[in-house]
This record gives sequence, C-alpha cells and structure tokens, in this order.
Amino acid sequence: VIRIHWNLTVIQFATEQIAEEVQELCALDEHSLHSYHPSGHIIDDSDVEELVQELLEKGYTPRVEDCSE
Amino acid sequence: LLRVTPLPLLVDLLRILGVIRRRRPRLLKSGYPGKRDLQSFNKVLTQPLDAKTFRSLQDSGYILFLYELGYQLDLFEEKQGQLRLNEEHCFDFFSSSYLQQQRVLQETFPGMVLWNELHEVPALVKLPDDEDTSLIDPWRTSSVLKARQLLTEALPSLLETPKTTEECTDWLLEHLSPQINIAPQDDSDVYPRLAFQENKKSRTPARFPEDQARLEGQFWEVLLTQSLHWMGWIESDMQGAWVLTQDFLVPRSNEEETTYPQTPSLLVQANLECLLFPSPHTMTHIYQIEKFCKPLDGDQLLRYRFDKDTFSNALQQGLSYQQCVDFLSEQSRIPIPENVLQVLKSWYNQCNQIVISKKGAILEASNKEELDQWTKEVLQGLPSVRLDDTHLFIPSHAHKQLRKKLQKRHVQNIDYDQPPSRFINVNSQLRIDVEVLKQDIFAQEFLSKIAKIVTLTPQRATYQITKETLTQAIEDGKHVEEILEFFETRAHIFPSTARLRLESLTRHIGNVYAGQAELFLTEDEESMDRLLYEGGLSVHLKRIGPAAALIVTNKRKEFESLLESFGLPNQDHPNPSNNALWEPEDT
Repeated sequence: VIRIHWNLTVIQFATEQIAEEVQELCALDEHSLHSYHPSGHIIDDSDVEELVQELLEKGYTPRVEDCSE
Repeated sequence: LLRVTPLPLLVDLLRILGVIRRRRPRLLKSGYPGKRDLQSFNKVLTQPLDAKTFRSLQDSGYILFLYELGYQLDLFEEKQGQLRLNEEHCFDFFSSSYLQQQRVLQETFPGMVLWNELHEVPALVKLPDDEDTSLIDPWRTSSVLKARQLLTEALPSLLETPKTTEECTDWLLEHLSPQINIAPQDDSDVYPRLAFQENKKSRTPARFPEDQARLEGQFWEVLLTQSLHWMGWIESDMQGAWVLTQDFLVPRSNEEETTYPQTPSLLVQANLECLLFPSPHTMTHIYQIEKFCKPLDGDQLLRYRFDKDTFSNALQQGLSYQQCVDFLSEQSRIPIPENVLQVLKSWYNQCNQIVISKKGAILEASNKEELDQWTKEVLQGLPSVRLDDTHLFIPSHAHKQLRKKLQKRHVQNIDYDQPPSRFINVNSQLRIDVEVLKQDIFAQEFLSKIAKIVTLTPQRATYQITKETLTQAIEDGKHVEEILEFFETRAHIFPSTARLRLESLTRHIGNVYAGQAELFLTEDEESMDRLLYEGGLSVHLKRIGPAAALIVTNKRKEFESLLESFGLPNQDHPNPSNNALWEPEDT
C-alpha cells in the first residue's frame, strides 16, 4: 500500500544532539508531523516560515532549500 | 575599445538583483514591490538616492529605470506573487562578453515600457483620460518608445561634434519635433493630456508652441542627461559637452568579438576583505562574488567583505561552499589566506547543522520490501532521498515526473494543502477504527502515542484508548485539547460520550467522587431548620436541600446520640417531601 503525502517539508539535523537542543528551544514537537529519525522530522510546508524565524531568533542558521526550483 | 571598469548601471542592476535573490519581494496589488523592498533596493546602490524623494517604485526615478531594465532583460520574473530571480538568464547575461552585453542593452533600451521620461519632467502632470477622448495620449507607451527610438537613431549625427545639453535639445526640437508622438496632432495647439501643475490647485494645459521648449525640451533633456547617461552611451567631456562613448559606438561598429584570457583579478586578504581589480571579465566576476560577499565600496577597484549573513544566504540560495572556494581560488592573485578558508568553513558547517527541504512529497510504503521494490521498479531515475525503511522524500521539481510515473498505479494521495480527510470512526468506548489508506502522516504516529493497537491489516487498523495509554500520552507532553482536536478534524463522527469519556480519563471533567453516604430527611424545611440550628445538629450534617442533609460519616456516633436525645428518628423508611432537595439553580 503506497501513500503519497504532498506539500511536506523535511527538516534534518546534523546530529541528534542538535535536534534535542532545537526540540527544547523551539518547540519542534508542535510543528513535527512525523519523526522518521531522532534527527529527522517531517513538518507541514505552512509551518516552515514560523519555524525558520524561531530558529534564527535562537541563533541557528538553517539552510532552507526550496525543492520546487 | 574595451571597458574594463564596470558600468555603474550594471553594478547597480546586479545589486538590485541581489536584493531580489535574497528577499523575493512580494508584489503589491499594483504589481510593483512595496516600499520596504524599494528601500532595500536603494540602500544597495553605489550611490543611494535620498529616500525622502520617492514613495513608490513609479516615482523612484533611477530605481524604476534599473527595475524596468532588469525586467526587460528577463533577469527576474513574477512567480506566485513574488519576484524571483531568473538565475539562468542572469548567468547568461553577466557571463557574456562586453560587446554582447552592450548589444543586448541597445536592443533593450528602446523597449523599456515602464520607464517614461515624461514622468521625469518637473511639474508636468497627466490630465485625466476622460477629459477629451479624441486626443492622442502622449503618455501612451508607444509615443515615448518612438521618441526614444528616434533619439537613439539620431545620436551619431547629433553628437558628431560635442554639444551641450542646450545645443542637443535645440537640435532635437528642430530635427525630431513634431515627428514624434509627444507633440500636438491634428492642428491642435494643446499638448494632449499634458498640463503643468503650478501649485496644488491650478493646472495649466501645455500649449504648442509656447510650452514646446519647456516640455519637449525637458523631455529630450531627461533622455539625454538621465536615460542615455545612465546607459553609459554619452558622457560629458572636459568642457562639459556631451560626447558619445565607446559603449555606444563599439556595439554598432563591425568590431569583431575578441576573446580575452581569464586573468586572476581578486586579492583575498586575511582581514576578511577582498579586492576586485578591473579586467575584461569584470562584470562576470562581480556577478559571481556578489552572490556571497558583501560589497563595501570602490569605483574602479571594488572592495568586498566576507560576511556571515551574506555567505549563509548564498548557501541557502543553493550555492555550495565548494563553488565559492573554487571561484576564489581560481580568481585570486595570491593563495587564499588560511584563516579566510577556516572562517568560511565554519559558517558553512553552521549552516549545515539544520537543513530544511521545503515543498516535497513523502512516499510512504507499508514495509521496507515494498519501498525497495518501488524504488527499483517505479521510481527509477527520479531524484529522491530515502528517509527510513518506509519513507522516501521526493523534491517538488520532480513532481511532474512523479505524477507521470504514478499514473495507472493505485496510490493514495494525501495533500497537506487541504484540511485532513475524515478516516476515523470512534465509538463511545474509545475504540478507534482507521481507514489506513486515507491516514495522514501525522495520524499514524499520533494514534500510536495515545492508544494501543488492537488489529492491523493493510486496509484497516483498530486502536483502543485506555486510561493507561492516555496517562502516558499526557506524561509525554500531549495535551487533551490536542487529542480532542485530532478527533474533531479526522473522525467521521466524534460521539459526545466518547468526548466525555476522553475528558474524564484525563481528569478534564474536574473532581468527581462517588461513595457511600447516609441521608437525613425531614418532613419539611421548618423541621430541618429547627433540628439544625435549635437542636445543634448542623455540625454533624451537610445540608443538600430544604428538607435533606448528608450525615458526616466521622461524626456518626455523636450525631446518633444527640438525635436519640430528641427521640428521633421516628421513621424506618425514607419518606421525602417533594421539595426535599434544592433545584440546581438554587445551589
């Protein structure tokens, strides 16, 4: 059984430690739809801007890749 | 014959393109970028304008000129209400030779429809369109374009010998007016739709020939002193007279294209600054370096600074660390200082700590074998990233290809642009029946956290919520409201009993106690009052109505002996009056 979930974003952390840090600082759980790995989460496209803003405010410099280009 | 110092217009155009690359300005209803983006355009210019002199793109003069030039050169485009850089066209244009660039500019200039020199003539205003529809509208794009075309063609004869602006406008008025469409037509002595705004209240229609010099003269003057000067085709000589430049003449000559060898033109310094020396490939180098370096100042020799924000932004836009370092290594006249490489590497590492890949699709299989098989047989050649045993990420640029491959195959599509579909049945005992095919990626994980699985088939799954599973979920950070919302948005029907049960199990219903208690009843309210207050029974009883009270268990013995002293009770069976209990509103 194959399901295709459209319009989703993947957020990948370099290490589990960074993922945990972000989890605590940016309430990643509130945005995460599914976690395929402790350092990898799937989130809704519409949440990206808010999350990126939060990350920037906490001093991270996330690299955002727009896969439509 | 070769320009090695960069044309200021092209440097400014590149800087505006840089802003578009970074900010992706959202377009207003007018179709133009807003004031904040305009201010950003202004800030990056080699010589910023006085920001107080313009309020919108339409009245921003030089910025409008650059914007229109970039638009006509197809260097950016509108996409989903935002301006996006057309990187391919930018690369083609800025990597082309000086001669090619100039030829393209000469072809483009006459067609710049948004740029209208009439707007730049001081005090000249446009009369409303409905005043006289029979008149030809000089503001019409074709009129201005024709005038601009005529001037470009007349330039070589006009500037055969150097001329002052005044001489030029006299020459143009004599030779070109009134052939151009900005002049009055059909024996009219009034310039169509043109008036001078003397003050806030009065407007004077522009008349021919009285206002010819003031109007057409200034129109030509703007063309000469602004448009053509900005394009770099004319310049003033030592005596202040206009002469044609090589930038105008060379592309029109039969000059053959010369290929100039690449020579290193950068000096990367240990203080995180970088100097760019003029070369035949200056514009290409500026185009490359401004993607990841912050411009500081300079005229012939341009100065740049490595800056974390600019560098991180470039990486976000898709430039790789290696591309930056390769460019610097190729172009630098001396080896890149080690500290510069280290700093760039550390910024790159910081950027790579969190990578967010937007707008993709997740292909989810039931098990590893199924995903392996699909990857091998169906998705071959499709760009994708395997996330785990059952999930595959496919970037949206490959979606067209993906949809093609999915045709005639039975797959369930779940679109997160739409509200979640309803695929859950919940009964009052909190047993959950799920149509697995329609289940969204959030639901599966969420359900496994709040309920335990009872049965699972490829089509259907059954879960049971218990007090234990709920307690665990709440301990793990789930909120009751979140659980309720989940069922409200995904269940076909969310029975009120199921909701109440959920709330009860999570203590959201408040404190509820059920236990044994004994009732003390009297015939009427007056008897109850007397026994409570005159008889002193109030310390042993909790009144629950006019003629009813509960006996406080731990004072039972004292109560019984006190009651007995009154010869009570006198009934074996309860015989309450109709209004023994308070109605809810009375309490």
